[in-house]
Amino acid sequence: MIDIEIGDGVSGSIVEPSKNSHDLHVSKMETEQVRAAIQELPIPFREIIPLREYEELSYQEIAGVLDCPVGTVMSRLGRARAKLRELLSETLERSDSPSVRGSNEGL
Amino acid sequence: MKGCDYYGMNIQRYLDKELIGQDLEEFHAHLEECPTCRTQLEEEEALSGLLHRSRPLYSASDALRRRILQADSLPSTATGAPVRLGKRIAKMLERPFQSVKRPSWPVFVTAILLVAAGLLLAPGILRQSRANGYIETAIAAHRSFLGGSLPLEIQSESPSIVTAWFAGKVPFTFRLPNSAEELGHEQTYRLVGGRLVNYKSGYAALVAYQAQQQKISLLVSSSRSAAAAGGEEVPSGGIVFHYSKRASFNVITWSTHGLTYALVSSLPGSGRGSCLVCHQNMANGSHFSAHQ
Repeated sequence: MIDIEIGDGVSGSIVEPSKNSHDLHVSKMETEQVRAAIQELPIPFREIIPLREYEELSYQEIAGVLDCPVGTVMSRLGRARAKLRELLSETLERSDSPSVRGSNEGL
Repeated sequence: MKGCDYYGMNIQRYLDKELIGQDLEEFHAHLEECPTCRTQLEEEEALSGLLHRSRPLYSASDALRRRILQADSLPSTATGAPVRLGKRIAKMLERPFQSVKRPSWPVFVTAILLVAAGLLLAPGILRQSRANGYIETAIAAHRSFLGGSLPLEIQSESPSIVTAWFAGKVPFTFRLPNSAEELGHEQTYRLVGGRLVNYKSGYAALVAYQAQQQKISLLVSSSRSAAAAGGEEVPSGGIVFHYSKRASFNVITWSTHGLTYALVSSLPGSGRGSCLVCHQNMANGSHFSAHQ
């Protein structure tokens, strides 16, 4: 038997029967905008975001992977997020609207 | 009393679950009475939520995967990352849609034993390990380049333009290798361009050539972080070239003037024979040098 578990975030986005086509379109657009924003980041910022946000490594673990001090991890993360907030400001504003926020319930 | 400037810095640590004990309690207390920090926290949470929702279509870059996989294959102390961590991350990156269970104690104990064994390795073996890591990086970069996922950042046939482009971008003085035949013989290959690739905690230079309808990659890094060792050794012009065949690619590595080069190609011939495709005059005793 193959032991495969799908993460909550993934299953929530791939299999979500309650989403209508408009919500799915908005969700796909959001994903594309996030992907593009991450690609725009300088490499040191681009690589640290997935380690923290998606793989959920601790600062100490990230420092080990990137071979840098924990202080550098913290400052890079702070700067990377600040840059992402700037790049994704419009997306964040839209996702804060009631219609979009409603579409994400259950995630 | 600590102000918002202090707690503002802690918002990130709180979000990342790095705030514990007294610090966490103080932060909670401050949030209760500070609308500014609450708003800032909500903004950070909104960004974090957006990033999480985008997760399915995101995958780590090839360069980052290589570095993590490499960290896993290197001796335990090379990156400071525990073996357990390296395996865990590598597994996660290979299968981004699956959750990963933490290794059991027997696995952990095995990992510790591997670390201990790694510490006992002789310097020569460590050097070979560094060399293998460099070759693996070079092959991975070559594959990505062939597959189109590593587009060139500078496109030029001019060695001086390519060299100038890398100046200041890589943590070493970049020099292209220079075959003696360039001085008087017709070249059967041409420089195409280059780009930066992640290597260890910095960057290495990836240089692209074209020969006989084939793409050739050259990875250049400082000899402090990369070694040339193993394979068939052929001394030429004061340089020892190491030839090996890896995963259907011909790989040639050498170190000179503080730099280590790894040339990856699918040119016909094995070992030294693949060099003769482009450098026929090597058979006559000519040799390579490096641009000074």
